[in-house]
Amino acid sequence: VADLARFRFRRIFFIAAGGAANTVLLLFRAMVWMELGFLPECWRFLGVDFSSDPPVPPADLLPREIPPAVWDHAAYGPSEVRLLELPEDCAALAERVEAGAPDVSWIGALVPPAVLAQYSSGEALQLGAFTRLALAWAADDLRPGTGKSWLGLMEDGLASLTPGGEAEHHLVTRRRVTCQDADPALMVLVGGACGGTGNGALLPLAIAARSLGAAAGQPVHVEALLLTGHYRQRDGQEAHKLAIAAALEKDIEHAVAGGNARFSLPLGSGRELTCDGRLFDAVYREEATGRLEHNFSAAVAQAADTMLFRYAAASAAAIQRSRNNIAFMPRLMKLTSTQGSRPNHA
Amino acid sequence: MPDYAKHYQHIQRLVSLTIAPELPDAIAAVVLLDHLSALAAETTLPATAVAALDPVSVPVFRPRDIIAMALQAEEPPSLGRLHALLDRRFEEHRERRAGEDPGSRVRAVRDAMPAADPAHADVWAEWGRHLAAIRDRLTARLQEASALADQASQAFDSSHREAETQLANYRRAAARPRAEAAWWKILRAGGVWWIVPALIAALLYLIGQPALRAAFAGAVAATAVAFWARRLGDASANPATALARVTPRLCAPAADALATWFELREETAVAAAGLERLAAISNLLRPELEAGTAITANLASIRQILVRHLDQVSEGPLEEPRPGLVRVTGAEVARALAAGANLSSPDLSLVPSRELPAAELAPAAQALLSHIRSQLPEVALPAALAAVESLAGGRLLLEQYLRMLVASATSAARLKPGTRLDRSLCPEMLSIGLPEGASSPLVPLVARLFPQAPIMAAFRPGRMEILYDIANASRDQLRITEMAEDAYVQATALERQLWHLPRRYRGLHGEPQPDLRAV
Repeated sequence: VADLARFRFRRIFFIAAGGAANTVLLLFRAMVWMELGFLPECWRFLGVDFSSDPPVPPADLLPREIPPAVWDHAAYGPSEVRLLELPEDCAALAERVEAGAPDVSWIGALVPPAVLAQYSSGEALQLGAFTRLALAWAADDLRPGTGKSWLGLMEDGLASLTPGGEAEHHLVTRRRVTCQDADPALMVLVGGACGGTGNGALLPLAIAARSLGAAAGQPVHVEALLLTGHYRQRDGQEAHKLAIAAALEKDIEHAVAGGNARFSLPLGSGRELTCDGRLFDAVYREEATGRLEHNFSAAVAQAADTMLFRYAAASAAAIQRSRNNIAFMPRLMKLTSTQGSRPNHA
Repeated sequence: MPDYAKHYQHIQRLVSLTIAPELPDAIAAVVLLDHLSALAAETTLPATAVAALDPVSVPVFRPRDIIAMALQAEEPPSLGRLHALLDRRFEEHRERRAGEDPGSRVRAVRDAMPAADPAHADVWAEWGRHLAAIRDRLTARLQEASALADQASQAFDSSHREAETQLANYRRAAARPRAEAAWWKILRAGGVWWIVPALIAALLYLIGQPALRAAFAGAVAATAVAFWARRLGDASANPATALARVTPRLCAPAADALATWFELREETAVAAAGLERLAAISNLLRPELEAGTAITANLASIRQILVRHLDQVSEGPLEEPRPGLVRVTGAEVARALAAGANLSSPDLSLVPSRELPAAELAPAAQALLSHIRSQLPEVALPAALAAVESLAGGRLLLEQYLRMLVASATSAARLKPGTRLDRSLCPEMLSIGLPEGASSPLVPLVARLFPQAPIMAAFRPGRMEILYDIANASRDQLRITEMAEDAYVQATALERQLWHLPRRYRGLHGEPQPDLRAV
């Protein structure tokens, strides 16, 4: 029986987008299960990826660390994974967008019709635009048998994560432990900066989280765990991967700075998710440096290890509190430098 | 001054040192192997039970004593009667010995053994070997004694015939008139030496000296009579007494052969009876013997599996399955930890008492390992590291691995060459988490190697966790950013448009999206 005092139980919604991120999140689930023997009910999970590359437990990645039986418990459940895909005939769709058909004209804001017309794969092709379009296309996917869309699952998850809500109730009744704080629910987005799906989905998912939280009157704290650097095996595409990572980091930097920025994600004609101000409360980097370079299993395991400490350890909370004070310092410095004087407390 | 609006709050990395999952199994394997070796070394049969099983420990039949006593009688029995007398005594002796209950010996064996303890399977198996050895010895002895008895029987027959002939002669001689018998005896018993005086007498007779002839003949007769009178004593006066005195001498070779034959017959009978008794005892002990043999065979096979298992354990004492994770492992460490495990007598009751087929041996070995592992105290990281340090060169190796681990943690952020962080704004922190926190026995080691690192309680039990984090490091200060920017500027406008959030692209580049109608 695990010593539950070592753990910190917070209301957290973990969402991973793309292959590397889902591998990290599944490893994280396996490590939690090995430590606790269960996945805390106050946590919600969602794995998002293209249907051509659905997230599966990486059982052969760390066979000496994760016993095979653990994967029976760590694999996503049916309501914890949603797969994305674009229409089969993108060329025809592009023609309609080009022609200004009212029901699809919004697509032009995400992917130029000329580019869409060329699409014939089931993947993001390292282009964030295709991921954003796939997210928008699947946001209202109500086909029979598909269950709720990723957006519906996010909505349900956030609803269950309200203070005293379903997630906390199940934690108390099943584990006899309570969530230790009354903070807003935490949304943790995991993405690989060098892949099309994780790169393209990170900001839209953050926009959705902020937007849904605001609509429900339930603010959320949004954090991102960004895999970056050469975390994939060498394949000759390293420069291109770093380039798209640079694009994402510029966008994240803008999103973290906040200010008067307004972010939006069109979901269909006349419908979009929007939010204002700071998109992320914190972004953590997990860069494949040194011997982690081009060592995929080591890089994702390292990310999962750090995630486990950060989001499950009680001791991490104490460290985080002291770091918050330090993190505030540059904002104060910036304020000082722009105003030309020390802040006026009066 | 860096632009602190462009920052990531934290770069954080956690690396750890822990115990390899296979180490507890390896310790259990070492404990089990040690125990099996000790069992094998202690396979000694209880002395009292061994004595009880000894088939020679029975009263000895003494045919020579009986023969000597019989021949001392006033009327010594004939060899035939002596044979019959020995035969009767021998049968009585054998009946006394045959009345013994094999169950009493089995009880002695069982009483001497600890109650149904599989740990003594080797002793039971040793009983099986001991009984087999006795059986072999008795069989050989039976064959050898039977062959010798046949030879003794032939020797007796030969001696018996000769003795009977001589005795018959004596009896006849004793039955004739005294003078005739005396002269006959003189002539017969005198042999060739009487030819000399006879020839002298004949010569004297021929040369015709009557006085000399008469004197010589008288002297010879007187000497002969005096000799035989001394030799036969009063045999001529009492023939029965004379026979009683001469019979032992005449019967001696036959009696000796008879005694030898009876001794060999006893040996044969003892060996045959011993074999019968062993068969009965083996039958009565069969459950224990078969179980002991089966368990011993199983343990021998399990021992081989355990040896192979230990051979497959990582070499150790430290391994790095991936950067950021170091483990204590290896058979050497397992042996060092097993020495202090304080589990002197593992319970082997899980070993089935029937001989296992090959397919069931590995699961049985695993079950034993798991069982023994559950009896062992949990391996604590300080003890495991102490075991590493106790090995030759272990201390130096441990320090190297720890430094390497810390290097893995602190390399989480690679700065651009020439970049120096403003430590007042971007502090680095290296914390070491130990089992039991500041009260851990590992504190002196950590304090010596990483004197500036604060010590905290590790999140995961049994781990040393090394947490590195750096706050407020700007993206522009990172080496990877420089490389990524170089790649980014090589991209086309269309690529960048497809990478960025649409509105973000316009913000970055101050231009509308490219006109793609020409694409």
